[in-house]
Amino acid sequence: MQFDTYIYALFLPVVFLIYWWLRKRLTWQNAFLLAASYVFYGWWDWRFLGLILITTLTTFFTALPIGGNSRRAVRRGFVAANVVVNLGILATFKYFNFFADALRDLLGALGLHADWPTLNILLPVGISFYTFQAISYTIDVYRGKTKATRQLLPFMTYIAFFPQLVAGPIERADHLMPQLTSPRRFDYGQAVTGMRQILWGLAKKVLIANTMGNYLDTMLYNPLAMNAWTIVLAAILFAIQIYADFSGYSDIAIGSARLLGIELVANFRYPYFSRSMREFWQRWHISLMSWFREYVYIPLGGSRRGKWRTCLNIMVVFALSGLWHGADATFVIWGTVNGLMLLPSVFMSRRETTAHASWRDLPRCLGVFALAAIMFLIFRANNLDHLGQMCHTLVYGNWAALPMGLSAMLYIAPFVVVEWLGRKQEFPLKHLPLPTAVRWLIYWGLSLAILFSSTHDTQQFIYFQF
Amino acid sequence: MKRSFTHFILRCLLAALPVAGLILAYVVADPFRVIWPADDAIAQWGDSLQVNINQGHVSAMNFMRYNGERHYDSFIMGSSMSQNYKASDWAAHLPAGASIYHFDAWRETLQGISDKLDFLEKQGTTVNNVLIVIEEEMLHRDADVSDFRFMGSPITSPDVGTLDFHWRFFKNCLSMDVIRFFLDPQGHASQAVSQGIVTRDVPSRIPELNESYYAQFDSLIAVSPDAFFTPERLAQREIRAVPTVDGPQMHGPREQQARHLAEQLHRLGAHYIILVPPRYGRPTLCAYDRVVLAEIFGRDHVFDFSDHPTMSTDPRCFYDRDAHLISRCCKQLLDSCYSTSISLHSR
Repeated sequence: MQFDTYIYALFLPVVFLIYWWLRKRLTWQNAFLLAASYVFYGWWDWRFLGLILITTLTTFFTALPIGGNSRRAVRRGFVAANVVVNLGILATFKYFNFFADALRDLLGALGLHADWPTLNILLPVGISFYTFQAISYTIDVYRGKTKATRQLLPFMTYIAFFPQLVAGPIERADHLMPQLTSPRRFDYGQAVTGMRQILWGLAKKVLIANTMGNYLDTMLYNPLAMNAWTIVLAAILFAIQIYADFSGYSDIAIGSARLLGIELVANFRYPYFSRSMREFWQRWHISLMSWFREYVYIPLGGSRRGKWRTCLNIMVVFALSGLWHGADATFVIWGTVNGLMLLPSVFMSRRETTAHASWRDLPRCLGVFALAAIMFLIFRANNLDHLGQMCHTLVYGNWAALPMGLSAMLYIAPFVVVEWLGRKQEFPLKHLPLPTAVRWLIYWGLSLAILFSSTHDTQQFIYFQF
Repeated sequence: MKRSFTHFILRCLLAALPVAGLILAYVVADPFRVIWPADDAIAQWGDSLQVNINQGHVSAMNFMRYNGERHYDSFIMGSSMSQNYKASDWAAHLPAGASIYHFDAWRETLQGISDKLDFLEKQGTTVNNVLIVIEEEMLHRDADVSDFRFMGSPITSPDVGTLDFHWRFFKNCLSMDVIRFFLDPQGHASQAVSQGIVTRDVPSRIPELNESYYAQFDSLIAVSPDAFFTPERLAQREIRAVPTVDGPQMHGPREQQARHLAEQLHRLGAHYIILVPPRYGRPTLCAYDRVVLAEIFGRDHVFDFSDHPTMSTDPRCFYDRDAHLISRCCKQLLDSCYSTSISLHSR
């Protein structure tokens, strides 16, 4: 079930009403939330529910002995078992064909003929997200950061909680579990904020991301047939699209959770208003980057073992982050190049002094945006050939002609202005310092614009493929 | 909590007002005639302009509406090319008392016909006679899900959800082209015709038979053919002396669908004929497909007129460019089928 479909528009109010009707019975409320989450997920393909159940039960039952055992070797053994099972499922469904093909190509290059079957399987939606959430729980229990829960129902809900199940934010047990194990009270302010955030998320997805997607489908269909400025503009449009798409999804997820009285972690904080690449990665896909920081970067030594080791750790994290995004060479290159671009910051002192960029920071923000846009062009490439075609057009293409798709700026300009004006808030619609009537006109206008702009064949959220 | 919860619900309802208003207006107006009985208000703009209906859904709705009183047992099925085979012409070849219904759909597919037979079976309808018009193009056509006007009806197609079906029509109603037309039909008629929203070729309809026919064209053709087949009209048609032959299509999914359809017809004990009509200057059925169709449905049941020596080369046999045979010719083909020894089911 996608957030920008009429099915979700019917599903969420029904869940909301029943959920709060059950407010005096926590167990029933959680059971209902779990059932709703499984319906939400099973809407794609009910067979994928089996994988979630395997991940959930494996994690739950391996965490129990980790939390209740004093022998370190035993605890480590259970952690390893859990990580192997979870990553094994992820590797099978997401990476098997990628590595099988890569190995076959490698052997072929060495003159050895290898021929083995590849798996003809669908990638279960959101598998990367809930797998990471499950692994973080196991490791947190091992580290003593969180206690192994003996309550299966809240734990199952923790893994499957529908607003963040398929594309995050990737939650941690010490943040979400306490909310699921204690009674929730309906909070009017929280619910209103949730509704506004859903509206803003939908606007970003439908009005901006989908529109950019339509432009890009044409502009990048055959890069060799385009002029160089078109590829430059495509990079800008895709940077806007992926931000509007993913942060829009996160806003709808966080807003939906708020309607149910649950707070999720923030996933984006206006990343394109960053003043350095380091700051960019602190504001972009925050829940994933903090996951890598906590479970990969810091265990590798973080920045405590000298600058060169720090550089190596950064490269490892970003290469893995690229691989997490997809089983394709372009994602690995994207991650690696991002890591390389972050390395200079290891040798430079931090310059950001304020929480939010000001007008004077705009040139630096533009620089960061330009770098991010170049990186995302690699991300957008269908494969290495496609990437090669874009580079070819940039190097040898016609720089004298105007780009195709300039009219897309009519959408981007107001969006960027609104984001800039609202950058000190969690999201621009959170508190509009305007008279009530004007605010309502804005809400109604946005609702109607979303309705009129959404096509029947919705464009899938980009991050669903990960 | 209770007060603030109620307050919140009221605010949400207030926020949803414009969207709810739009949906209400759409349901009341039903511009594409998919909610309320289509024939009650189908010619909204007089005789000269009619919204392009989803004939598959209108067929299903009319069936549900009239079957209780008429107890249909004989069905004309196929795409828009089955439209001009009149119930009265077919009735002459059926046992007395046969109750005929046009169960057609524009851009019908073999799967769509099969779904309709499944639907009839589930409804407990007796199916005694079936006339299936399979034009050559149907043999390489899959269900058209991209165009809402041709998608299957949720009443007969198990793969189409009711909500999804109506949502698509609602969403398409919100396109600027459609809104402009509905606000000022005459002012935007030409544009709407070219976009396929409406048609100027408004047929007469007999709702209880679900039959559309071009009464005004037929009478003009009968009285003064040259007044209908004007030089301008004929000039629009591609003149090809010899129709081409398309490659084999009856393999893979389409062959399976045809075999399933034949099984259904046998299971229902229906007497059926498969009629392949001619198209002007268009590919005829290839020999391979003809053999496969005969093997699947039975040699005595398949009548291939796709290479009809006169009709496939005479533009005056068609209402439009190349596809829709005039009703007089349809009658001729029907008579040709029944001039052979077909033993009809007698109730």
